Amino acid sequence: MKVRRGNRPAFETLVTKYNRPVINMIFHTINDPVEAEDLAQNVFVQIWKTRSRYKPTAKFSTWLFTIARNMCLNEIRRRARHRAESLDQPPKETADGAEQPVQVADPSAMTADDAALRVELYAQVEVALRALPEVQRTAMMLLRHKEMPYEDIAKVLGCSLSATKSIIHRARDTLRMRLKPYLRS
Amino acid sequence: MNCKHCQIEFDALLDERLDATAANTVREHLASCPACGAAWQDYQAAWNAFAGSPEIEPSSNFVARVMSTLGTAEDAQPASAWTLVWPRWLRLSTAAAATAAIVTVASVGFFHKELTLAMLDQRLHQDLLTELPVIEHLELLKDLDVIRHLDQLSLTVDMEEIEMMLQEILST
Repeated sequence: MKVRRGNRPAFETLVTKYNRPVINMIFHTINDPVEAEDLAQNVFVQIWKTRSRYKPTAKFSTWLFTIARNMCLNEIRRRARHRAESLDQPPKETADGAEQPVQVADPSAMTADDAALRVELYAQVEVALRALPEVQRTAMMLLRHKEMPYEDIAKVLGCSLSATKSIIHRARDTLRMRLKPYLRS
Repeated sequence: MNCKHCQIEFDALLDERLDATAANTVREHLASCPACGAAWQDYQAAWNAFAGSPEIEPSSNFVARVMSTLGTAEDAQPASAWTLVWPRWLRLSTAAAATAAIVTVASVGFFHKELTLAMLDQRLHQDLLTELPVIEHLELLKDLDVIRHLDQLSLTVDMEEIEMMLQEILST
């Protein structure tokens, strides 16, 4: 409500809280951490510009991720239309030439073999996630930290609760099948 | 509990959506059924691998960049009230701009398939041709169901609702 009245510190609190999940959701769609941040920035600016339209009947996170998802879908359509950039292209570098770092597990707590296996597993998780249909991938990203109930995920996806449950199940089952060889090893 | 019912509950068990009694029933079956037990282990392990995988860390100045952009965002005023109504992702090809303007504007209160420019107010016509964001998929306008839903829109409907409504329409 404070944000709706134009309270910038309150909005900054929201940006601080949600920037990471929003950026990650976008990143797993477009595979570019720099552009994911740009799009995420647009999401938050959009939220700010349309804050007067926010209805308190819906959770802010539901509204936020709905807009973020729409931005992802628009970007997918834009790229498919222009075919200028592939979603599979390697990440761009930042303006100063440094590649945007991707956080990896700390290998110092494992043996060398375990660390290598873990890195491989995470790489396969990324491949499996990217291979999911957009709606399933979005459901997984929203469910990841278990902070959003199924009902809110359904609102973001624009589906019924039962359809959302089905989407979640199919996504997890697909991940299970794709990752099984790497989990056993 | 049979195996089929048990595996149906995997998501609920994983997301702690089962009450204690139901969860115990599932766990008892998992303990007694090797096949379901193995399936559950794989299901849980795959989910844990995903949930535990590294995330992108936002750049340290991301929040500052967003906050500094807000001032610019507030200064930019829309040139026409129409740009507040239509989602930015709608794009209109140049050649079909007039057709889209006819169909979309006239659909407010109208259900006619064929319309003419003469039915539009001259000012609105100019606004639409110069300021209406373009529609990416022109074929949407050939879908009468889309047009029928557009007539429910008004200047007071917020952008997010328009987007969600149209996406819901297109997904069915």
